[in-house]
Amino acid sequence: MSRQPSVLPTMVGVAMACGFAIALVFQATAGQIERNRAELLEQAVAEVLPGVANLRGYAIADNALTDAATDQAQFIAGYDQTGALVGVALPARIMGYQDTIRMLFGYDPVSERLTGFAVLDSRETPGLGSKIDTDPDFLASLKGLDVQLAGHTLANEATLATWGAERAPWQVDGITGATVSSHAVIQAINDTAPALAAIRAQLPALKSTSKVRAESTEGKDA
Amino acid sequence: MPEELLKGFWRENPVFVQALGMCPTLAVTNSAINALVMGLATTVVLIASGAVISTIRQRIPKQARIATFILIIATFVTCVDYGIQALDLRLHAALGAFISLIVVNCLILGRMETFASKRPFLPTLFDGLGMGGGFTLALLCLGSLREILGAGTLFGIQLLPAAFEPWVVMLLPSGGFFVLALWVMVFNRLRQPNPTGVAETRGAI
Repeated sequence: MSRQPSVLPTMVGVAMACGFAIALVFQATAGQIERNRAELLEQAVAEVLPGVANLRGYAIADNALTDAATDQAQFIAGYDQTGALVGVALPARIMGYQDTIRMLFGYDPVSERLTGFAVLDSRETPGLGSKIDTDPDFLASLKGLDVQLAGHTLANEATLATWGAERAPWQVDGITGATVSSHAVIQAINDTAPALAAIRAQLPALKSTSKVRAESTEGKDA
Repeated sequence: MPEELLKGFWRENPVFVQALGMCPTLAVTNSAINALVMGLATTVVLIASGAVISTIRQRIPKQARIATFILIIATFVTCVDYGIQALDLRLHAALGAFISLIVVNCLILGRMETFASKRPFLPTLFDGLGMGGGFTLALLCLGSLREILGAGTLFGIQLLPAAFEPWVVMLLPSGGFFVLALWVMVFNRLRQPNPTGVAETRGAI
């Protein structure tokens, strides 16, 4: 008992050493983690906007476009090699079966259709809800989904397709065993309507940004 | 010394014999890669915290030892967590909260209390390597079987023909219990080649 080291100095010493070690590792890995995040986002944008070559992040404030870093942007506009607008990648989040699903929609404001869908982060049940990222029928029905606007809502709200009946352009092919997750994605699409309306209102500005780039690179399309 | 190393794989396998660390064992083994990374992360934490605790074991006050162990374990878990994020974010997302929960894995705290805090540096190192290796092996056994049956793939590579209809139940929590039971059965059968022999009770109680 007599030679027992005292509690307080030991604990404080250990805690300080631990804190120092954590800070050191955090410093060492922070840059790489940041690069991984950016890379993941870029991959997802390329997935939802096929043929995209240049990305620009934007935010909308007071009805005007402002530039923003891609990882903090409200949406990301994608342009192809000639500088023409391919579409807009719009991040969205919604409560899924277990936790929040973070996803990215590709939106073509000209034709008013979705161009793609990617899951950024989800903890849906493996083998069931996790299929929202892989199920071919589900993903195919989202690609080209009709999201025509009527004011600040969708002209036809996205719904699940009925089995056996012909699928309307605004209907999504659900996933067996993943009813909650499929519904969550559909709900997220309907919830994006105000954001889509805001983006569409900025369409001339979005396109003109591309025109400047097109003239500088190609010089055609006066 | 080889005894300290090998006991974790066979005679005292943390999962199949001691039934420790069941939470990550059942939760993250829905694919082989998740199982492997979880096993390796646990092994790193086990070895590193064992080494530190064994080195400073005479300076840890007895009445505060658990708190000190947790502090040291949590530090290494946080470091491993950052390491995995730097390695691959998708992997980190798939393992979710379970990386942070290594802190309370009873396997690690158990080894610190029963081994590292009482033995010198080198045996502790071998003990950590053996126990971590045994844990990784067990997780890999579960993870590969569940992935093969539940998705038809192994480490993401298509293994079974497309005609095979995956047993989704194997990826769900209940599948974890089925596969665990299967492996424990196989393991005990191999450990006790004479199951009809009476009154030879071994294993974890």
